[in-house]
Order: sequence, then structure tokens, then C-alpha cells
Amino acid sequence: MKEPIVTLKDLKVHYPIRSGFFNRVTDRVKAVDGVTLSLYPGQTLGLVGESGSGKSTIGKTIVGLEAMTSGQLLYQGQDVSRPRQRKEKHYNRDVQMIFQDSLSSLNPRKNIYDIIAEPIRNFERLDPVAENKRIRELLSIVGLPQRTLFQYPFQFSGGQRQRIGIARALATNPKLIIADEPVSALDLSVQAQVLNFMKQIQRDLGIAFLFISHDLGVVRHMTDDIAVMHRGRLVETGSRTDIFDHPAHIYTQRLLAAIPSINVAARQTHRQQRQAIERVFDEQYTDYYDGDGLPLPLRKLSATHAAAIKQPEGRD
Amino acid sequence: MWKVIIRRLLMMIPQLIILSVLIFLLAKAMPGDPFSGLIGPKTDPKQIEALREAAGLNDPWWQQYTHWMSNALHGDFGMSYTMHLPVSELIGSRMINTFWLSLLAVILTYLIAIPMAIFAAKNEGSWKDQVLLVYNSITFGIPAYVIYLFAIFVFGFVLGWFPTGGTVSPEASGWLAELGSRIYHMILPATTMALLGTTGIFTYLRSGILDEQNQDYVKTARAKGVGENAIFTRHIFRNALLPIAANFGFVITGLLGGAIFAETIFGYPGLGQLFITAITSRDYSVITALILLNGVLALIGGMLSDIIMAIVDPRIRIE
Amino acid sequence: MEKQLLLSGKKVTVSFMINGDWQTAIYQVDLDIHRDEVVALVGESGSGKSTFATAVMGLHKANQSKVTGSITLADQELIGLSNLEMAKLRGEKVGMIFQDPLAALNPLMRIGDQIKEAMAMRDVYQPSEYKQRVLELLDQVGIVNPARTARQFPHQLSGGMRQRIMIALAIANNPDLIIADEPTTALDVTIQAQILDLIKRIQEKKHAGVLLITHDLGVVAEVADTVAVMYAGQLVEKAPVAELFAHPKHPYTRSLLKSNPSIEQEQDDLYVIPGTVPALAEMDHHKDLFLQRVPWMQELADQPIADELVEVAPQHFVRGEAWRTFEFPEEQVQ
Repeated sequence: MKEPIVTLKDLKVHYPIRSGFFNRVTDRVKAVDGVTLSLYPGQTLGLVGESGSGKSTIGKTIVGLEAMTSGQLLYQGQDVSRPRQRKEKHYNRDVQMIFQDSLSSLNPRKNIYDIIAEPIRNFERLDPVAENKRIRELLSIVGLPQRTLFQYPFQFSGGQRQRIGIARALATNPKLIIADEPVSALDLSVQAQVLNFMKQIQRDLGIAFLFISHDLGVVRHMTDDIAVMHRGRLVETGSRTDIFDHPAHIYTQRLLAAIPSINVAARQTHRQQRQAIERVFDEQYTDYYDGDGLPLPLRKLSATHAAAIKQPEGRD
Repeated sequence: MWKVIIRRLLMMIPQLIILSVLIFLLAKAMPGDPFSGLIGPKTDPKQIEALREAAGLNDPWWQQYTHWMSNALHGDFGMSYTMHLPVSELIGSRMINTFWLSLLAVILTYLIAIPMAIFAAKNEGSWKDQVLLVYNSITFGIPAYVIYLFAIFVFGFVLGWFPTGGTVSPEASGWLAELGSRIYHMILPATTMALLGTTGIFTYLRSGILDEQNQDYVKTARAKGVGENAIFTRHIFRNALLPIAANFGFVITGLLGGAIFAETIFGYPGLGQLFITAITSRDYSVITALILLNGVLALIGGMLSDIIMAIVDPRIRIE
Repeated sequence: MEKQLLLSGKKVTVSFMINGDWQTAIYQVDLDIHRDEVVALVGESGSGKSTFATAVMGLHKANQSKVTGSITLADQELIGLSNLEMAKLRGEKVGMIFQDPLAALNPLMRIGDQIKEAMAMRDVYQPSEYKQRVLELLDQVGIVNPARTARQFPHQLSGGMRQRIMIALAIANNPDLIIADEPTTALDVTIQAQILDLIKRIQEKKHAGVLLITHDLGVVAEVADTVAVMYAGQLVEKAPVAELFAHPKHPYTRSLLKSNPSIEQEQDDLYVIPGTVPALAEMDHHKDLFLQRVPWMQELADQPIADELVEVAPQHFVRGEAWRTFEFPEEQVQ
């Protein structure tokens, strides 16, 4: 087996809640509470969950935008938990991020040339001619006409801006791209364009993707492997088939059942199914969550599949 | 809630210590001292030196500071060097004058600024709005003392409608006449101050109203069938008042701070005027006491504003 | 049995004053909503679906917009009503649910007071009855502890609860028609499912008509009875829900369905609709605006077409004739 590009070991990100007379830390919001996760070269991993599940926090932690409370971040087997270590190993060049809101993540006062040039100038000292060539190349990879090079972000549509974000992420030839809800602000027809385009990059450039999304349809389309998060922990990981055809955790089942189906004929049965699963979720809650309402530890079901469920009866 | 207030009060202690040390050291750093003015060609330097020694001015600064502070905590800010009165007494009598003048000015300011902001917002973009915007940038831009001088010249000297100084005319007898005379003396300075002081409230409230009326919850209120008047008073106006409420703590404490220019020009014996007199006569004990007073007021103002915000905005209310 | 007609929009056209010009945002939209019927109005951002709903509510600003055509609600013409007359109808005859329930609730007002305000306009209840009625409504929309929630402020509730509050507001006066403008877009899927169930349940119980505005085809398939598809300010297709998903006709409807990443099956590449939506000023509503962006349909794109949709199957209406010849290219080239 290949060595993972990035590994998170027992990551915890907690935010303190201060209260009381002396403003002491009295409680913690456990945004991420013990997640272990590896990303392999060329792999596309989908990270799914509801808002507040901690999926974005994981993405931000991997690129270093969020401080870890505890745990380890490994880059090709070496510890890069601290900013200084990341700098030494050129980690920030090799791991890039694409954000959800393409307008606010691009500096409105910079033109496209400077936006794409920024990571190149930060990490690779190219002479102006080579830099220019590289930027034009990137622009054509993301399918934007050369004449747009000196325009400003507001002059582009949402889909185009998202592609500029991708060009910026690709500028340093990264090994891993974290895409945090890259299409959820886009209309369906534009979304298809950006998704196809990211898929093509995966295929052509062999870059690993961590694809963070609340939309299971999009995740199914984009990724080979999927990890489902709930309340700061992973509740299920597996291949696309494992998750979509054999979901083991009740939360995954609930999430799948909640997705509206475009099969009109089956909508009555679909609704009944969903309500049945909601009932099971309430009834068998303690089989899947501990006393604090947190998911149980992951347990391996097969070579690819793991879920946060109890040992079956009779074993242990 | 109480916990927060007490915590804010405790937090003020270190702030006050730093503030008082700074004020004390700055006062010390000023050239000369109260006795410099006494020096003439015939004075004996030894005599001056003896005065200094007696006043404790030759002690190390921290001794002078602790001495000053412990007295201050007992309400004793020393004697005014030039007016030969206890500083606390001096400030006390002036503070009452300042309070009444500021109170009247503040009330007038709100009475002028709020309707003006509502009117401007309701006529957004029209010439009525433009006129009010221009008025507020002019009054904000022109140095206030220019207008004060103009006002006292025209209404005080030329037309003679209002007195040109003092708080109560000596002829007034009986409490009613005294009260009338007091108000009569305050009308010109207070009105002028109010007319010039609308900009902050006007700008905040006007843009607040314009912001709030485009909020979704206003659309919800319309969708519920709420009438336009009720939508304005219950939703838009109320929510647009928040930034003004946030500033209200400073307004309350500002009542005691004194208006330096207005009081000096209108000859109104308040704290602002006292401050100017004290500076020109190098009356350190008065200067330091006044600066300390204003610093304390600013700190309390901040705290009051926080408390007011917590009361009016449930989103930051501490449960 | 013919269902009772609640809302009837005929040739509804809305223009806005933009930079000194009148620009047409929606053009000649015909849409009916009956009792016991959920009509979904589908389209992407800028298609004009919310503009239509806002016109029904009479919420367009009078000095910056122009609404023509006819909108009748229970046989009463709405266009031309004064603000005061319209305010009376709002809430009582039509209730509205908005997309972002946090923004749509007044942050400084208690939940109970906001619901009470919706009823206080009507003089139906004695002052003492309001409290009871508020608690009833909260209970109806599935709030577990109505008394507690009534005292809370919007920021203290979860997104799903806030949307339930919005629904309570919308149904406070038992309106016959409920307009839901992207009611679940801001919510998580599991909450979305619950809110859709709730809207459906309330609609069935009250025999109300619902105009559901959404961009999500899945939501449409789950709850709608009738679907109307909008593109660039016009309806392009209208059909019963099963018919529309089984036999989509208009090129835009078909393209939209094809570009939707499906949860049921795996696709290699998603279909990408070529081109972009025209700007408001560039919309010529006498042509098929969608064809303008389809390179291989250019000879039809320039032909003028009728304003009315054509009935091509029972209750199935399509705009123009292009659907008869439209084909997807063999290989989708990017």
C-alpha cells in the first residue's frame, strides 16, 4: 500500500466556552473530537455531514487555518502539526484549498493575474517570463479566455470565479486539494460545469482531493471513498458502494433517506421509508451513541468499510 | 447579568491605576510648577525652594503619586493653587452647572437629530434628504467655536436676546425665578450645542433605518399583513436605534465631563471652563483631578454602554 | 372533480427601473394554483421565480417596479390594489415562508410576539386568547415545548426550529394559499425532509394551495403536484409532476434534469449546459431565450415564438416548437 500524503491522528479541535465570574473555561465546543483519517496519492475522499458536524473544521485544520487542540498532522509520514514544521517541508505549497464562497475568497482589488500569481510568488521563484507562461497555462487549464487575465473578480460569474479559485489552488502543483463545499453556492447548470472540471483535473493531474460537502449526490458523483461525520466524529467510512448500498450506521441511513429522490412514482414509499428510519434512529439511539450523545468508536467491517457501531451480540 | 457588571467593575481597577499613573506623570512632565509664577527678580530662590519642599514636590515621584492617590480616594484632590479652594469643592460646584447644561443640550440633540434622521431616511435620495445630509456634514466640519462665537455675537450682543455669561442672574429671587433664570442662561449654549451635535446620531440612525428596512424580517412583517406604520415603529425604527443605544453610556457620563469650547465662549462656569482656567494658570491639582475625572467617566461610559446593549439586544444578553 | 381555483396569474409581467430603464424581469407568466394543490415553480437564480411570488404578495416597491397582467386571488383582482387593501389580504389570504428563517425573523422580538403580531391585525381573537392561540400554532408546527419557545428569541433556536416558526407565522390566520420561497435551501437534508413533511401535512390538513419556489429538482419530485419551469423570466414548461419527470419536453427542462448529479445512479460526466443566462437588458422575450445558448439550435433560436405555451399532452404545456427537434449532442464536449 502506498504511503498516505496526509494523515490526521486523533485530531481534536475544541473551542473553549468561557463563563462564570472569572471568565474561566467552563466547557468546550467539541468541533472535532478524535478523528483519524488518511489521504492517499490520487485518492478522492468525500467528507459528508450536516452543518456543525466538524467537516469544515477538518479541512481548515489540514491546510493550517485552524489550530489543533490535540492530535497529529502527518505529511508523508513526518509530523507537521506545527506551523514551523509545515514551512520547512513546503507543506503549504503541496496542500491547497478551494473555498465555498468564491467572491469573498478572492481579493476584490487584485486582478486575476495577481491572484493566480500569488502562490507562485510565495513558493516558487520564477522569473517574470516563466511566471507569465505558467499563469497563462493555468488559465487555459481552467478554461478561461486569456483576455480575462487582467479583469477583477466581480467581473466574473460564480462558476468562473470558482474556476479561478481552482487555478490558484493548482498554481503550485499541489499533491492534495481540499475543496470545501466548492459548488454549493452555484446553480445546477454551473455546478455541473465545475464538477466535471474538477473531475477532469483529478484524472489528468492525479491530484488527491478531500471533497467536503453536505450534498450526497455531489459527493457520490465526485469521490471514490466517503467518510460520514456527525457531532465531531466519523460515524462511517467506506467505498462509494459501502456507503450508498450498504450503510451500516443509522446516521448514514438517515442521511441517505433524507435526500429527496427525483423518482416521483416512489415518493410515497420513499417518505415512509424515511419516517421508518427516523423512528429507528430514535429507538436505537443508544446502540450508536454513547451517554454523552457522541458516536461510538469506529469498528472495521471489511477491508474498506468501518462504522461506529457496537460489537454484534454474542461476541466481544 | 450582575456578575458581568461586577466583573467589568473589577476590570476597571487596573485600568484606573494605569490611567492615574499616566496622568500623574504627564502632569509632572509639564514645564514649571505652581511656584514658577512667583519667581521675580527680587524673590529669594531659597524661599521658593522651601515652598516646594513643603508642598512635597521634591519627594520621589512614586511617593508623590501614592500620596496623591490615597488622598484622591478619600475625595481629597488637594487645594487649588490659584483659587485657594479645595479641588473637590471647586469641581463639585462646577459639575452641577455642567450637568444641567449638558442634560439640556443632550435632550435637545436627540429631539432634533431623531426626527431629522427619520425624515431623511423616509425621503432617501430626494432633495430633502440631501439638504439634511449637507447640513450635518457642515455642522460636523466647521469648528464648533466659530459658530459659538457667531451665536453669542448675534443673539447675545447684537440682538441681546440671551445673556452672555453666568448661570443665574443675581436679581433673581425665589426658587421659581432662579430656575427660570438658570434655564434662560442655558438656552443659547444648549441650543447651539444641540444644533451642532446632531451628526453622529443623525448618521447612525438614518443609515440604520435604511439598512433595517431592507431586512428580510421587514418583508416577513409585510407578508404577515402588518401595517406600514406599525412596521416602522415596531420593527425598523426600534432595531435601527441599537447603535444609538450602544453609545448612550458615553452620553450619560458625558453629561459630567464638561464642554470646553462652549462653556468658555458662552462664559458658563462649568467644568470645561474650569479646565481652561486651570491650564492657563498651571493649576496642577485641578488639571490632574479633571483629567482623572474624565478618564473615569469614559471607563464608566464604556461599561454602561455594554450594560445597555445587553439589555436592549437579546443576542448579546448574558443568561 | 374540478378543484377550486385559488390563485390565477394571467400574463403576469414585472418590470424594474434599473439605471433609468424599465427592464422586464418576468414576462407573461400564466400560473394557476388550486385548493389541495402544490405547485412548484422551478428555476435557477435570476429566472424570476421569486419575482412572481413577490408580485402575488404585492411586495414589489411601487416606485421602482411595474406589474401588469392579472393576478386574482379567490376572484379578487390584486393588481392595482392599494397598499392598505393588499396588507389586509396578506397574512389572511396568503401566508409566506422565506428562505433564510434567521434573517426573516426580527432578532429583537420574542417568538411569541412575532406570531401574535400576525394575528393582531385581524380582531378575530379576544386579547386573552392570543397566548393560547400562539401555543396552539407552535404545537401544530411540531415545537416540543411551545411555552418555552414563545418566550425565546430567534437566535436561540436551531435552523429547523426557526423555519417551523416561519411556517407558524404563515398559517397563523389560516390562509388558503401558502407561498414558500426556497423554504429548505438553508437547511440540512435531514431537517429539510422534516420541514417538507410539515409543509405537506399542513397543506393537506387545511386543504390549502401551496406555491413552492425552489431550484432543487429533488424537492420538486418529493412534494409537488404540478411543476412549472421558468427560464429567463418566462415559463418554458408546465406539467403534472410525474409527467414532467417522465417526459420532460422543453430543451431547458431536459438539460436541467441531465445536469443533476443523481443519487440513484452513477454518471461519468455531468451534462453541461452551454453558454450563460442572458442579462436582463438583453432578454428578447419573443424568442426562445434558452435556444440562444445552444450552439446547434441556432436556426430555430432566431424565430419568434408565441407568448402562450402549447398543450402537447393532457395538462402538459410547453413553450415553442423547439422541443420536437431538440437532441443532445452525441458526445458532450467540454
